[in-house]
Amino acid sequence: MELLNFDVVRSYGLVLLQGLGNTVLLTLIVIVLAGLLAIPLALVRTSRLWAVRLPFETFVEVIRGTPLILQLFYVYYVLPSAGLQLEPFTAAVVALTMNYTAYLSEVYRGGIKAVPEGQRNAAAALGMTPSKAFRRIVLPQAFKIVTPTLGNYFIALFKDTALASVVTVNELLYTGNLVSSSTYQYFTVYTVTGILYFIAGFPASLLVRYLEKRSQSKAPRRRPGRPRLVTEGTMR
Amino acid sequence: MITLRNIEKFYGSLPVVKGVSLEIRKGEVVCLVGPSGSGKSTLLRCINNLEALSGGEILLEGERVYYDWSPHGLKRHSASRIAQIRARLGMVFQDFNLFPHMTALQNVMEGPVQVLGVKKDEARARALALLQRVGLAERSDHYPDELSGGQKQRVAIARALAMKPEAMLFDEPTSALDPELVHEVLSVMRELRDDGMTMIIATHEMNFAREVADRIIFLDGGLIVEDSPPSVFFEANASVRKDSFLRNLSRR
Repeated sequence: MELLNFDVVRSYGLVLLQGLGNTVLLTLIVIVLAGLLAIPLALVRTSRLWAVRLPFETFVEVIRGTPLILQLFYVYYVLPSAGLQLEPFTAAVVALTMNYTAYLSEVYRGGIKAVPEGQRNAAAALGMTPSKAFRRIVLPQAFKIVTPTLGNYFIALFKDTALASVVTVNELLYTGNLVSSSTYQYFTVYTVTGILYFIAGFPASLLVRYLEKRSQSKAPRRRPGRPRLVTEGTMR
Repeated sequence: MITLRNIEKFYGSLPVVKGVSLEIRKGEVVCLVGPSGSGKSTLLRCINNLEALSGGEILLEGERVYYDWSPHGLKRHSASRIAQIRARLGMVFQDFNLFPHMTALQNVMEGPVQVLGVKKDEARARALALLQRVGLAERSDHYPDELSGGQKQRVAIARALAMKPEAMLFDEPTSALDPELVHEVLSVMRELRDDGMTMIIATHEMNFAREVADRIIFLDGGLIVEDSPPSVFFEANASVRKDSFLRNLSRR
């Protein structure tokens, strides 16, 4: 096994960094879109009307029951025959967003259920309409409950974007594939690719762990700069 | 001011309130007492429609609220119409139900700002005055997590008062409190009575009821068994059931 070929790193390092840039961009776009779309999806899935729930439940179950890579193929290769031709990057955004929206709606649904009924009662007793109570009282608490879980999905998504390479999105893995097959420096290129994924992913994973810890500790968060109460005895 | 006519509440086929009629006048303090499961909490929650009615009607200042009559039964008003009525009635819960993601001050400001459309500066000033009134001005920046049970309940009272309610409903406001914290909540309620607030209080605090109530209503099995002023209530041997209830309470 040879050592890292630094000539290759020097010549192609920038290209790989650009690939990492696209990976991060794809991750951020999808997490924002899916994070938002999953909220209304979670809500309609709590509808009392069976007929309203059915199409959305079906969507979620189909997404959860099929491989993500197949969903990517479907959006990129099958939709054109229905007259919808998407750019690779757009196709990847669509497929990943659909996939993550389905999973995140499940996460939100759990979070919304975990907010005690008394909170809705208190909001209603103040004269809030159900929609206002949801926005002001339930959702902020549900969001706090699911933050660590959302974080884990965020990290999983970061790595799942590598699948977009199969529909020719020039993200990090796709770039790595191109560079390694043109230089034949597989060891160097894939090692550097892996290092780049890790450099971006590890801090994110540390952040999630921190959020998890914070949400588990019962200690209330003090806002910085707020004056603490003067302890008895220090005042004359 | 609040009129209940033949209120019924069923959970499935189980009757919890079986036709209660009641007239509460402005400035009156009415205590609902009775054994657990007698329907007093449910009746209270019917008054601001946290429990949907199974039958009967509720009038607020002579106006029928929450439902229209139709040949097919009760037809519930829209959510926003019901919300407008609820905004006129303050409610205090047994387990406080403060909003944990807001400070005491924000809890008290939330209703006026979000429901009444009061400007934030004005709402803040009013909220601070209310927290002062319940003796918690210096706790205004604290989150509910950082408050004792008695303090939480006083913030909850301030939160309800911030809506300038026409009447206040208390659902066993001291039942979740440690005994040594009960008095601080009761003294706030006593002051409210002195200010002329109309109050309906479901409670187990018989001494408090005896002291503040204009009328004590004894419920059992979802029915009003007795409706009398405290002087009469604690004297007469109106029913065997009430006697055993009172004896059980004093034994605790």
